[in-house]
Amino acid sequence: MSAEPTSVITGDANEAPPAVEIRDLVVSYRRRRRNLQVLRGVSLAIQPGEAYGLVGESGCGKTTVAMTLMRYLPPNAVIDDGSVSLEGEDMLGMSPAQLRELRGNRLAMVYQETASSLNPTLRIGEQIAEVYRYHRAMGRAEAADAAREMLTRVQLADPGRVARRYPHEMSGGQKQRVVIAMALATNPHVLVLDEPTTGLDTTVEAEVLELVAGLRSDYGTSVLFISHNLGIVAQMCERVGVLYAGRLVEEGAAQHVLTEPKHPYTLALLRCVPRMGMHKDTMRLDPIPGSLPALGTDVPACVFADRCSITEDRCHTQAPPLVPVASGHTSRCHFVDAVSKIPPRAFPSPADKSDDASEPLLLVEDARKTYSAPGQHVEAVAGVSLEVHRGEILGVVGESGSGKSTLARCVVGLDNSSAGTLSFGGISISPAARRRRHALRRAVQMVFQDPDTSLNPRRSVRRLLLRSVRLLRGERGRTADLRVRQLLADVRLEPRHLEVKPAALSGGLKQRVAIASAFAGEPELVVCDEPVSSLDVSVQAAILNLLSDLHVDRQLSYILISHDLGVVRYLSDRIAVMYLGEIVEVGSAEEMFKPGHHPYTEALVSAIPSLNPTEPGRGRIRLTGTIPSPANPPSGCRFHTRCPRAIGDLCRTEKPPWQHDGDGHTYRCHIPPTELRALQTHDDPPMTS
Amino acid sequence: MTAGRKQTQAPMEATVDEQPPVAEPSARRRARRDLVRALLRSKTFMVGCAILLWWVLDSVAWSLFVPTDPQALDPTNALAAPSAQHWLGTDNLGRDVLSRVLAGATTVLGIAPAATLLALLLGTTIGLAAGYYRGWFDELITRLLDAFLAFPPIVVAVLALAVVGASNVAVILVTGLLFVPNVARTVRSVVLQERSRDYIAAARLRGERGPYIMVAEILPNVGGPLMVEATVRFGYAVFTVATLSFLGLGLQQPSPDWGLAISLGRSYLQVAPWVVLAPALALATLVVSINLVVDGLRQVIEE
Repeated sequence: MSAEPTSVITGDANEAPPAVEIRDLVVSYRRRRRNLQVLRGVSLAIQPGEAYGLVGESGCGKTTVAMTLMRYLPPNAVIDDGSVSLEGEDMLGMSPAQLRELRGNRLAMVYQETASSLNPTLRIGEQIAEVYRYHRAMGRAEAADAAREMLTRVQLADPGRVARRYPHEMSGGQKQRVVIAMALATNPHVLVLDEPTTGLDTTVEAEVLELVAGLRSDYGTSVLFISHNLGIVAQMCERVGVLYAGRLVEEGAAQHVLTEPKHPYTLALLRCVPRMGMHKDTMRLDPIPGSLPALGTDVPACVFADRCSITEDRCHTQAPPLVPVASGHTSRCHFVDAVSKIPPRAFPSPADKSDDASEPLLLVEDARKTYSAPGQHVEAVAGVSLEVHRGEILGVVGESGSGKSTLARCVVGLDNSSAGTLSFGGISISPAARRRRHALRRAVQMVFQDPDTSLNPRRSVRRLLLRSVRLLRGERGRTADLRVRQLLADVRLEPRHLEVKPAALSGGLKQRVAIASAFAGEPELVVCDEPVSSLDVSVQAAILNLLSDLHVDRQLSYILISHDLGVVRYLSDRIAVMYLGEIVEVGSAEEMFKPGHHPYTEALVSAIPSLNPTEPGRGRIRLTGTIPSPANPPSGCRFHTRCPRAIGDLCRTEKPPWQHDGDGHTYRCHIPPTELRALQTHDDPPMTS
Repeated sequence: MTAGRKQTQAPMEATVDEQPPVAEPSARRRARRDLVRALLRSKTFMVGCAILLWWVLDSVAWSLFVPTDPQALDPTNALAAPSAQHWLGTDNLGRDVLSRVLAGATTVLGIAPAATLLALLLGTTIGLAAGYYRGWFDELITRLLDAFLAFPPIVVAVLALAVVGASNVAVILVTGLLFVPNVARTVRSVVLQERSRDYIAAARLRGERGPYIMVAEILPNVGGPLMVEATVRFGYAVFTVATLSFLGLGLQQPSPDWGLAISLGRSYLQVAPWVVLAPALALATLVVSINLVVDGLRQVIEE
């Protein structure tokens, strides 16, 4: 992206002081009269104008670094050691008044949760104007003008109207722009972004990131960018630091660190995400074994030793030094040279035995689901027809609001579809779960997004699973007990997990329990609604492998719903793309990512952040605006309001036909396949407004 | 981390696992112990508890504490001021006020908990059903409850008691029913939140029936708010019971009940204020102690 040459890293003392310099920072949280160390001596420096990415699993201390820099640590946090300076000035010794001055003018932060960083009772314009009035001592009118100008700079259409809105009247992406506008209002020298796009759709995420990159190059702001997504960091940052258990294990230029990692942890992080072109049939994912040491436990001399694949005795007794591996690239490992030789543990998948038996297991015909509120009808699913074959994994993708979750709930019978028919194994079935026969209930199950809410917090794992076994299989007593143990083994949990309640398990383990529970009755179709989106990347891989194994072992079918195209591509045989309650494209997983796809799919694909930003054909098209309200869908082609390839009136007035492109690949567009393919392989990006 | 090392011995597949900070079953016990500790640390809770426990103990074992028989008459020594012999003086019939105050806790601490229990039982059932089934049933129930809440409670109680006649059972029933809407509304709002969580959807997919989901899945998760609500209602129940006997609709002479004692002593307020003040203060300490317990509980649960 905007890789500016302003950030040449030299050790010369006559240069300006670094924008941010953190040295040997040790921070701990006091809890129940114990000090739990979170940061174990972190040192990093951000040069003026540089974007520095901080990556690592959740719980590594990324946010603590940001909060220490802002001096916004919670009251129970203690800075035990180290120094933090901003442009050469020591920040730890500053008075609250000095800090307030600093925060508004030279230092600003965009927090993780946009929704809660805006005051719901103030209009957008007033919130931004407040910054000017407080820090720039502007009058009301002047501040309001400045606020409107800032809204223009973050490319919000019609700033005058936006300024008069309340936060709840805006979409997630718009709110994020406002928050960025507030942070940049005083033109700070250093901007801290803590997971600024988590929770946003990929398409919106791409837009927000582009905005940040653009603003950064305009203002020359230094950025501390915190993210768990390596692709985003690769795209946004010049330098990157990898944090593990409160220690910086590797640091260097983003291209080097993310393409030739010299620390086993960085390598493992990179390997556990499904890469483009990986598919479950050919390659298994490579999760990181073990988990982050719990807060307050002792860590070995090398913090990563317990999970490392090249660990030796030395790692447990002797702290590895910071080894320079290239100019400006350092790694904290005893065996930096061995890292590149670590064989991928990802091994080929066991051959998928399912042959293309074309017997459809589930047939959905013209399903509709309308929610009625006084004065409006919202058609969340607007006539969807699809089929899932026996042994097949059908991926369903789309932005939030596209109706994919509603579709899932209609299939399993949690929501009654308002119209259309469902049939399973050739027999028509009732739309309501409670009216379905027992055998059918057993055959169609669901894995939910967030295991925190899908497992009753008051029940032990044993009770949870016993109940499923009893209801779905009718087993009791010893048989049931054995079955529960078997299920537990199937999802790679151990008997010691039986008596534990969900709160005592980590996210990934919880999701395994939820999967075991859905699999208790040997289902034939499992609907997985965002099964890994609430999990950390290192855990995601393990769950995806598990789902893939269970699929191979049991020859069942999945409907896999996800907003993460990488996940869907890795696991699915076929993919359906939904937009505003309609399916716009269906095809094999491979074809969906090649030119000749629906313009909406094209936009989704080009919004995926890649580890290699220079890859050709990336970021070709961007969607503008947000998904229209399903209460009032656009006429003609529902996508025409945002379509970068719209061809005029035809799209506005007439519903597009299904275009067939051989091999079951079909999409809904006025542009025929050959023409579309030509358009999409052509290197000239179409202009989007 | 012993767990990490153990894993390397397991077969390939098992290694591929994010290892938990696995909590042994003791985690639950530890959580409970932490809760108890937090309660013990809370001054509000402890002070409230101490006073409340005293009154509970007194209501059971008052006969051990009273200096003289609370019913013993001594007309020659009526309305005597506090003295070494009668620490809190005597009432219009010459009965020892201290003994009567100590003995008076029994009635209110018998009736109020019973009434609270009744309110909780009925209110929880209604709230669960309304919150779980929603739809027209919920609509009907909530409207009825709202309508009921619109009447001033004491007026309703007085009317009801006037019709059925005053008796302990009647007071329990009336007070209990009076609080049903409050409990039901609290429970309903918590149930609405819980209902939207996916474990309910998962239960429905397994084929669980409504009553099972309500009682076995949702109810245990309503525990915290329900406990706070129970204590709040108990405080109000004490107050209502005392008010009813003050109005002459509850217990009758010669019961040493506090409400009754305040009502009877009222006429002598100017000559012998202790006859009123003693039971009034006793009542006040009881209600305040319950409120302290509620505040303590709330703080700890919310933390």
